[in-house]
Amino acid sequence: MTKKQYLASLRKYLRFRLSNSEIDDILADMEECFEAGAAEGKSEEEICLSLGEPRSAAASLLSEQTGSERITSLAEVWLPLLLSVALFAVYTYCGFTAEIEKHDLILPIVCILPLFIWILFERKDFFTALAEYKCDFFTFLGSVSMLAAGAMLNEIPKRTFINRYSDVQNYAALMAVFVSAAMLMLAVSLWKNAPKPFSAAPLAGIFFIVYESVRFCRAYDYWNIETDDAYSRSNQAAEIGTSFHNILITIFVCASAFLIWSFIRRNALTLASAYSAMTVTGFMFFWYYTLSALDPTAGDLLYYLEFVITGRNYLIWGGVAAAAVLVLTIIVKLTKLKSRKKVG
Amino acid sequence: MDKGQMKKGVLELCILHVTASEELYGYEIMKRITGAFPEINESTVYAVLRRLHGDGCTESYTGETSGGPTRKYYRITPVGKERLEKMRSEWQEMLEALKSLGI
Repeated sequence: MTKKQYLASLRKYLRFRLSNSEIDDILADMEECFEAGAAEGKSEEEICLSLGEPRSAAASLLSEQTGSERITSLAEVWLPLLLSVALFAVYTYCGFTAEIEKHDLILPIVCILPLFIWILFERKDFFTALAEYKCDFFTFLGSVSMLAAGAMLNEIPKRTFINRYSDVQNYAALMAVFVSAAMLMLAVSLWKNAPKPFSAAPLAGIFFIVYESVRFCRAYDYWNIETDDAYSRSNQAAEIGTSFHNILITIFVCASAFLIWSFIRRNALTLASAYSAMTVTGFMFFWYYTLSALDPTAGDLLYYLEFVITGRNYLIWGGVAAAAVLVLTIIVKLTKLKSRKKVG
Repeated sequence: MDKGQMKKGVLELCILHVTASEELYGYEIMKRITGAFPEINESTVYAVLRRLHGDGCTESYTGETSGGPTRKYYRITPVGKERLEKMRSEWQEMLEALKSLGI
């Protein structure tokens, strides 16, 4: 193992638990060890050996600094995500059963609440936590803004072409605000330039926006098909919905397994990828459930069809997301294996 | 007290003792301790040193080595000296207790 590999590996293990400044400080000290060792005529390989495996080095550093050897924490990644998804689902349901306008501005607040609670529980001093974890925090805020922008994007064409309401400019303005907020948050998080688990969330936000537009297009096409046989169309839609549901569960379960595996292997990259897949499928899953909770026979049949028929889009985007994540991971794994072989 | 905890206690005592007797840079401290305890990794020593530093037991300054680059040197603080004395007497008591039992 070379010095560069050792330091990179150590950073990878520490980055979930320590602040960037602390990690930089540790790595600077380690670099000094390499220099001092080299001055004594030791090779980088020998210095790595005497320092000990990067993983055990990270474990003892974490145990001394934080009192716990845990390299990653399940709650740190999962809690804000799951709570946000659940709250988003509630929000969506409320949005469809009540006037959506009332909930538009609640969404960002509701979605960041779990993160606030998490920070308060995890760290007693909120402002210190905010300073230490600002990279995570701003990226997360950015992704929430992207999601909100996605919700607006869905509303704009629907209100223009289908409902023909005149309040579309409000939605356009809101979307612009959310997109600008997202860009600002992402810029702030990139300013620290450190990959963190939440960095995967904006990707989910982008997927969500694309999904919203495709969903609308599909629904709009269906709306325009003229047929009197509403019953058979409803059956066909329900069938697609069921098969979609099964496949979605499969993707979700696979992503969960992938995530657990990443935790066991303490692999930050696959963890981030799995997290991203979970975010995408998780949102789709909850969205699907909240929409199916509406009684199909009670309301407008076309309204119901719009939800179920677009199951195909959920599937397409879920599949694309999962495949992209998988391909990316395989590519990185292969390149890593190659470089490891070279070193060996 | 499990084995790990006891080892950490000994490491702490050794690091404080080493920094109290001489001002050394990080790598030298790590080497000196691992010289006495070959089964311990240098990074473990560094982790304990870092914690002691965070607790205010040591302070650091940048100094130059005889023929080369600058290094981060550590020296003990009054807080560290106090802890060293306390630990030394605790270990002394333990050794005497063991002796009295004939171990």
